[in-house]
Amino acid sequence: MNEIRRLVWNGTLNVQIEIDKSLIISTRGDKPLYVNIKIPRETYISLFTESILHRVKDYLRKDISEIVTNIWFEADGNLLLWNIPIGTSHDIITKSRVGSMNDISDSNTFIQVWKIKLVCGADLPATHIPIVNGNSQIQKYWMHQWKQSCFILNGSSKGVMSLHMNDSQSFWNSILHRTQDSFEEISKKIIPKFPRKIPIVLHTKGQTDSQYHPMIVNVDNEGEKKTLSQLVEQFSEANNLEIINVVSQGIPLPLDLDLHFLFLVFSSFDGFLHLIITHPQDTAQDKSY
Amino acid sequence: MLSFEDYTIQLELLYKSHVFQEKNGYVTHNISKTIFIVYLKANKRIAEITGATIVILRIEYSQIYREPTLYIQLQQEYTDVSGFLVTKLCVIPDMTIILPNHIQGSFVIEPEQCHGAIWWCFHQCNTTDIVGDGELYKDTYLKRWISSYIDAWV
Repeated sequence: MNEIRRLVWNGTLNVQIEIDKSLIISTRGDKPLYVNIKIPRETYISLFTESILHRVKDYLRKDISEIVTNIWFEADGNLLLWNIPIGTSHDIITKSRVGSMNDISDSNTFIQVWKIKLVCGADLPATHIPIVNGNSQIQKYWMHQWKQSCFILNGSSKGVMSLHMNDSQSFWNSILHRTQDSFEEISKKIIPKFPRKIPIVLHTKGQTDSQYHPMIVNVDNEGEKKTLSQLVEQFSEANNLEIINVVSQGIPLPLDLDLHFLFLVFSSFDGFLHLIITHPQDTAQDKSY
Repeated sequence: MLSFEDYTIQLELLYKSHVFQEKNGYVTHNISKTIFIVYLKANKRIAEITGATIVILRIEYSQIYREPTLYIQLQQEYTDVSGFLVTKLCVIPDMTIILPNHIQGSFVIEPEQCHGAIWWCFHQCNTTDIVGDGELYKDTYLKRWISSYIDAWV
């Protein structure tokens, strides 16, 4: 299990970011400006906004501090919500390519690159949470996610609210500095061995802004652990489970696994197990990618 | 903590008692079985601090915390160059400044996505501590919640 957790923690995305043309000085003409970057799957993309802009600062019309609050990201014309793990956003938008490595004839030389856009505008998209307080706002949002997760797991948020101030800061620093040992050590203080319920976010409509938090008990009235297939039966609109694909951390999951195990192995840095449910018709549309 | 069933019963009773419709600055409202949205004119203090002209309150039920939840939006109405009256969402760095000083420390208010828009959510994790959930007073839970979360500053 520890090895899978390590792989999940170290998972990265190769991302090519096209910078909004309105931000670029006119001397470059119409030539697009790109930043190529490797981003951990387990992070919020907005934590990288300033470093991305810093890499092209010589070509920007304005100082980074003047534009940073008006920035958001898009992929395939969809808003990327900064407040869900970027790996989850990637899996939602690029659903057809999950598991597609089998189709690549020369997998040794194949590099998957996700093309997204950094957009700047005065009118922010309706579902984009404005970031007006920089990383401290992102930290507060993340801590609130953990309070919710803690409440679902334990029936109270006290596990998070009673963390020592040093532990709270170390917990956040583990995300910023990618220190898994520190993250696991502090999250163990919040996650009980036998949780009441499992913190899950379901992504079902192929859009990053379509999320649902189902309330799922760990063990049902018969003393059986809840499985992924029971969850899908309860919350998916599809009639035939055999055609459903459930993905977490970029990996298609067998439906007979129990949710507690999945949470322990695949839960994200925000304290939730993010599950993406897709149907065959969703993937057929994207084969041209 | 309030069960969903009790929440829906108490919400309907509150609606029928006109507790919001009779508030100063009341403009209009929308109600469903589980969500109550009230539009109010911003009072002088909030208008001066934030520039907002409209305060929208949205009361919902949190299935995670099993508590009523207050979301708010501040909007500024103005006339654009074409002469149309338009509204703009007010984004301020710290929403707790709309609260009187003595209760600012009691609440955490952060922006969240909610039904396709951004609302500022009063965090629910300490709701029971604020409202108190003695069995004897269960029937007035939502009324007391409104007293703490809304009447204290609107």
